Amino acid sequence: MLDEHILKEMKLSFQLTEQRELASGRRKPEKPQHPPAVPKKKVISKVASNPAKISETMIQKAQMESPKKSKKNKTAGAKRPLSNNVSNPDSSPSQKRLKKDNTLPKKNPVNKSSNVAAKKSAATSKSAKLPIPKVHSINELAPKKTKVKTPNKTKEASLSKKHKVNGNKSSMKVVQNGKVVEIIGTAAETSDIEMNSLDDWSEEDDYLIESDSENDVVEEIDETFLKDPKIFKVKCKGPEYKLSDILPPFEHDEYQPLLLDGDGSGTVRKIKVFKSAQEETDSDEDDIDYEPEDSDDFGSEEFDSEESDSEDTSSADYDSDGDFYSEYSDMEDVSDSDSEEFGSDIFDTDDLDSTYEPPDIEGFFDHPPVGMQREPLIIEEIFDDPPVEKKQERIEQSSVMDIVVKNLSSVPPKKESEVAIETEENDEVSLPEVVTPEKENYLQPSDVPFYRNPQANPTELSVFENSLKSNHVLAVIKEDLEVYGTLVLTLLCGQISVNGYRARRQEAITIYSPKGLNWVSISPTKTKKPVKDEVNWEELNKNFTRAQLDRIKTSFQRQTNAIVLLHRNTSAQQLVDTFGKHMAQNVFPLVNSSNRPFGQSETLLHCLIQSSDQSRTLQVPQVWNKLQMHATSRIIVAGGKGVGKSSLLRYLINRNLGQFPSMLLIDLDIGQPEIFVPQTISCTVIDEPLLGPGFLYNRQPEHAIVVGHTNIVLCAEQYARAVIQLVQNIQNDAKYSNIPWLINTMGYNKGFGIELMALLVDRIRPTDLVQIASPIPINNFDSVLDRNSLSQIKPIIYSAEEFKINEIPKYTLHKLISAVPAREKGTWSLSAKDMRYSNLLARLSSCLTGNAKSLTDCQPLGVSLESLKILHPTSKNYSREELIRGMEANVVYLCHHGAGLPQCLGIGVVRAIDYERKELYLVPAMPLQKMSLVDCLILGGEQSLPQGFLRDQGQGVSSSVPFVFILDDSKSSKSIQQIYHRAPAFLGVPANQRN
Amino acid sequence: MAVAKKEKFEAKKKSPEKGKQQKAKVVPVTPPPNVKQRTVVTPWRDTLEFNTTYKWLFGKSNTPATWRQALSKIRIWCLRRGSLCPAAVLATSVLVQAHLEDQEGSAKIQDTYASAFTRFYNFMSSIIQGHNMSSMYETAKELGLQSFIVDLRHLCAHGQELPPVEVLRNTSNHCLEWLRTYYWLPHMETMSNLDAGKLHRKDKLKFEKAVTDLLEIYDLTLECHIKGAEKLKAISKLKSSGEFNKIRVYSSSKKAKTSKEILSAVLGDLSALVKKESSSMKDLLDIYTKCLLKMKYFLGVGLEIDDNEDVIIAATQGLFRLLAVQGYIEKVFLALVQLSENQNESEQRRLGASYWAKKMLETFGMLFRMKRMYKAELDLNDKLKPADFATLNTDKISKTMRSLLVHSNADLSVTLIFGDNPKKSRSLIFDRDFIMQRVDAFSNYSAPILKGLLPLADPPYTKTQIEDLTKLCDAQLEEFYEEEAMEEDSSSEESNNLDRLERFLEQAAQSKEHTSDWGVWKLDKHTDWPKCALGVLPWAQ
Repeated sequence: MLDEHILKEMKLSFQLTEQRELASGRRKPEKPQHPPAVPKKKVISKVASNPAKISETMIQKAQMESPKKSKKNKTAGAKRPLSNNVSNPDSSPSQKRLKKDNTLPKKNPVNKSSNVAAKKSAATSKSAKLPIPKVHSINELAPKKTKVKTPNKTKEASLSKKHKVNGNKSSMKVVQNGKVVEIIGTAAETSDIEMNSLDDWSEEDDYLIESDSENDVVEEIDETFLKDPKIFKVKCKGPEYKLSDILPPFEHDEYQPLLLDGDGSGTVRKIKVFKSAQEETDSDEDDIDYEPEDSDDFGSEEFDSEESDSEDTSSADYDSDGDFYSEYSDMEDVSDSDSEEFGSDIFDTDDLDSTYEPPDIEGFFDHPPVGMQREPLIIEEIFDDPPVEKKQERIEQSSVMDIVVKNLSSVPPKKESEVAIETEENDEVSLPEVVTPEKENYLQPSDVPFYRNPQANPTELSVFENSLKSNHVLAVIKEDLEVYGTLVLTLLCGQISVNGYRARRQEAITIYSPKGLNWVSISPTKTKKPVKDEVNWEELNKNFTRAQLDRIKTSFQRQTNAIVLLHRNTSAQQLVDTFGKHMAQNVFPLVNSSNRPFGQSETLLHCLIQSSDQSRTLQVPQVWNKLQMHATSRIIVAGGKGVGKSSLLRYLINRNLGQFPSMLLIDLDIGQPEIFVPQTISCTVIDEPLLGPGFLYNRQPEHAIVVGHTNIVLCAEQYARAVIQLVQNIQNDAKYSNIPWLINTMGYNKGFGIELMALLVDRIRPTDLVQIASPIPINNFDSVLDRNSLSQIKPIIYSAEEFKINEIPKYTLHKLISAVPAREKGTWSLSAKDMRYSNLLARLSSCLTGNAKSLTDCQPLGVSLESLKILHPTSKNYSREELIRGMEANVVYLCHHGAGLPQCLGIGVVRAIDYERKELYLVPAMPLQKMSLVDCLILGGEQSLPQGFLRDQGQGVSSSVPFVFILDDSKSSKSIQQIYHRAPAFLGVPANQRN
Repeated sequence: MAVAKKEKFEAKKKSPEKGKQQKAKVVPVTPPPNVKQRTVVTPWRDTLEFNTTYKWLFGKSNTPATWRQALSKIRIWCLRRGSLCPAAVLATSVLVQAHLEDQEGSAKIQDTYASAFTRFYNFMSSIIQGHNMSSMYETAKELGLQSFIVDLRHLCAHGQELPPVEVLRNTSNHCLEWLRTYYWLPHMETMSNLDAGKLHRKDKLKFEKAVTDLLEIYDLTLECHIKGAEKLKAISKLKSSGEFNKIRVYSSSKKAKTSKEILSAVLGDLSALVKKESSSMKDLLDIYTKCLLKMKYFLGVGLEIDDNEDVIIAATQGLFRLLAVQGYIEKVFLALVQLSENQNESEQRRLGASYWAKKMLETFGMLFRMKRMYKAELDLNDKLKPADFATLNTDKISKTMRSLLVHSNADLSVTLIFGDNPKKSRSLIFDRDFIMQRVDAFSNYSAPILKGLLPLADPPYTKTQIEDLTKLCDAQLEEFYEEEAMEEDSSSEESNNLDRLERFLEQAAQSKEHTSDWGVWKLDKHTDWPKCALGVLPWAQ
């Protein structure tokens, strides 16, 4: 009875599948693919085992039906494969596998003789049956292999070596069995299995090929239904074959359970058919389509990546939902900048892809052991004390742990406590290495605003006095303070250090401390020598009362405190307003609260100030202070993404400005430049400290060249030529020869990153190279950037004569460990996309001169189009007319086209174009004095006018508004989103910390 | 050749049928009026540009030439918006490009179609695909594409053999038609050009209207009050029926019987309205200030003073106190200054703004002197009671404050009396850079403001400097009037004045040269630029 019922259901499901195939029209074009003769032969060779499997499968279905009826949920069905997989590590199943493999050769001779007879009676119908179980068996094998891999991470290195030796798909089988054998510890069995596994894999390859043609299988199934009576005939013959193949009693008993296990998995697959025929069809299609794709992309890494993707997907489900919800909330709250916020989040992953190419399998497997070998070397070179080594390792572990936390939007309470413990350990460990004393950090309650610091000790508060007449603030700084906003500080007495810069007396320094980065800290430093009282108290008395000054004097301790005068940064008003208008996040603060310790002072300064617990400010490892700088130093700072290159760069500048009044910053980062605009490289003479992001100072470079894109792959040659010319310009100018150079590089460390680095080193000829290593392997170069390694690089991309490397010079290599602290959960930080956007906002705010509040209020400069050269930096497919129309209401680079590549002087916004008069009207975002040099406009890359500037026109606008529409919120009008999924293993997360 | 002709003939036959079917489907799918909308920035300038491109792509008379025009336009769109160009537009361009090469008889047309097909599907699926890894079949289903498109895409991307050219050709025709109905038609039917007024958000427009209505009543009532009309009967004689009805309705709702009471009620409503919206609206202050400067009588009252300035000051003091309590005094002052310097504004408005800015400066000076005296007293007497300058915004003034007022040398009857913001006390002094900006925009309208700013400079000018600069301003003002009578160019006047001031201030390094050489560039002097949106020419409206 049960058998008949199952058969009926099978018929119905296959009929439904057939109907859908006919409806889709795929059956017709694939018919010609059926005739190939080779698959038939191999299919026929499997006839002998078919009857047994069919009968066993039928029995299994009957057994499985009862639990299905009792538990009508998918969970029960899903658990069964897991239970089978769990049993794999046991010794008995592995032994059974061995014997199964051993019996294969014996069957073949007997089967051959019986095949001849079978062909005559029912060749076609028998061949139709065979592919079904094999297809399932292939799917069954995959999860087993992946599961076995997981607990044996330490053996991956040795196993990967075997993989290299074999060099084909069958090696995975070897690896799979090798693990099993190693568990048993028998060498002889290994060789036997290898011999057999080669045969097995070649057979399975054939089935993989066959499974690609789905209709072929369907067609054969169809024939089976038409010749239903013959199934029983085959069934009758089954026992006869078994009798002729009787094995020893022990082996025979073990053989049956193996079949049961294999068929059991298959049964689970087939049961799914009866739950929903449509679902089954979709599922099959997905599986069949997915595997070839993986094999094409990853080769023999197929199963590993499949598992990883699955895990990543399961965790990503929750994450992406949360992200989407938060994005949606943001869109509702600040709809003026919807697209920018949304685009910012989406294209953040694009930044990862633009700098990190998927590594070769060889490199991927080699990296962990090489990294492990390097770590002791690095520690030995930098630190001599063993305790420091241990602490350093802890830092790395905690960093990795935090990375895991990043991937989870929701963490169970236990894990949160673990994270807290790790964070505390991190703080303790870093104590001896941080220059400024560090306090213990506690996780803050979620209801406290992100910038508040409720743990401040009242007895150590600094003293702030607010002027009655002016908007100045006089302060005695007794502790480390951190700043959120922008202000101008003048040191009057004592000593302070601001992000490494020792302020001079009576020197006004400007601080920019935006949200999303480390706060800028103001730290009083001890002075050994008694300092004379040089404060001009009479001058201060004009703005402050005598009582206020007396309070300042009494609280000031000469050797430990500092007296500073603070002003609001009024020159940055346009910049702050621009950020407030076009940035979703409050990058600069809205000073509303009056319940803070320095509330009145904060109101005057329009900047938040609080005592610092060192958790959100720049943490300087001791090794940074050991980097020496000379007048002829040429220091390259290199490293992957997010290792702290910019922080180190600013610190070196700030710390050495006392010794060298000016130094040259050569910025070769096209994605997140420090001073100038994205998609360019530049050099700038720095004679003032960078207390915050450099681009907020809106400084003008000495030389700059437009490269054309933020993705190095799309402008590799343009970038190299630009660098070569820029370096030549610098080297030919005598005024740069006797000042130190600091070279900022991009974080492109995979792909041809090391090849590019070799080219840079050859042309720049540095004296020092600082390589910062990240705890995440993907964010590191594949090798140490020493002279020997770079000399052996054989160029692939830069193979032209103009990029030939003459000789890698001698330089001192400094290998540092990344000092970037773990980011707090839920804390917003400036992504690469946000950084570029902020850079553009800062530049465009310089357009607003006089009383202008928006671009439309600015008076434009006119020019005849015929007097301009108009270029696209990376493409020659655009006509001049297209470029002209493309720059309408857009951002363009303003350049001078002299000898060599065009020199970029700044950017501007094309206000409008008069096509009849052939005139262009521009609002420049650079000093007007240099406009006389501009004779060339460059348009291209990712740079375009932020949408907020088009949506929020000036108050006085009364005309029609082009380029802006109110449309239905549908997906059809969305732009291309490049979202990349990366498995945790790819990002360097240890196996035991994956989800 | 015969086979090719047959295929083309069949393609032509099929396309009209598909078009009809698609058109039938589009009609019932019209979106309901309550669908959510959002403001988007597009690469195309206006509906004409979009519709023209649509016609070039899908018009009945389209040819390879029109397709090339459309592709060129799409390239321009990519230049304008970079990676934000709509995916459907890019998908259309890759398919059309393949068709063009097909018609030109390319030998590698199969590869071209395969590449176009892969890019087409990748582009369109990206707008559906999120961080959830969903099946391509599900994505196609959500897009409304047939599932065999996914199969073809896989074959084009990964297959050892490419599909036949005929299959690719027919399917790309199908996909182009799908793009037309999925993207181009709905947008063409719903898109319309925007005017500046429609660009603002609804809540901002609502707030602006509420403020405008209140201030309109304030303006009307202010005029009546200053002209001596106190009760509704007297007001009705001065105002037209429409204006009177507005006042009457408002006064009855507030139970206000006199013009003074109406003014107070308006200020109360204003305070509540701003307080309600201040936490959620970013540019509330800009809207608020803009509405304030739209009060016609308020701006013009300074031009009609005839021995009743004390009445004007008394009547408007409440408004300025409200601004002080709200913390908007500085911003409103800045707006008045900018209005007086704006050459695009009418003379009457500029003079009115100049008057009120001058009056505010008098109060700023008064406060400055009061605080200076208070500081001097504190230096002499530490036990002096603390003074809260915010109390000047109320009618209850302490003895200390009253004494400071009396000694501030201000004529209290014609001086606005307001103080600091209660929570954010801030001295109303101005940077030298701010003053230099006023020098750059020197005119007869802004000259009184410049003179009033000199004592409030930070860091302060010396007494001698202030006297000299004041004389200089007066002299320049006289010369300005004389030269204006002689009809000479005012820019040279400004330059001359600028040179003298710069020489005296010894800030030559910070000077801004209006007449410096900018190479091929020159400053456009058309005065209507602020009225034009980005991309619009003043003379092209």
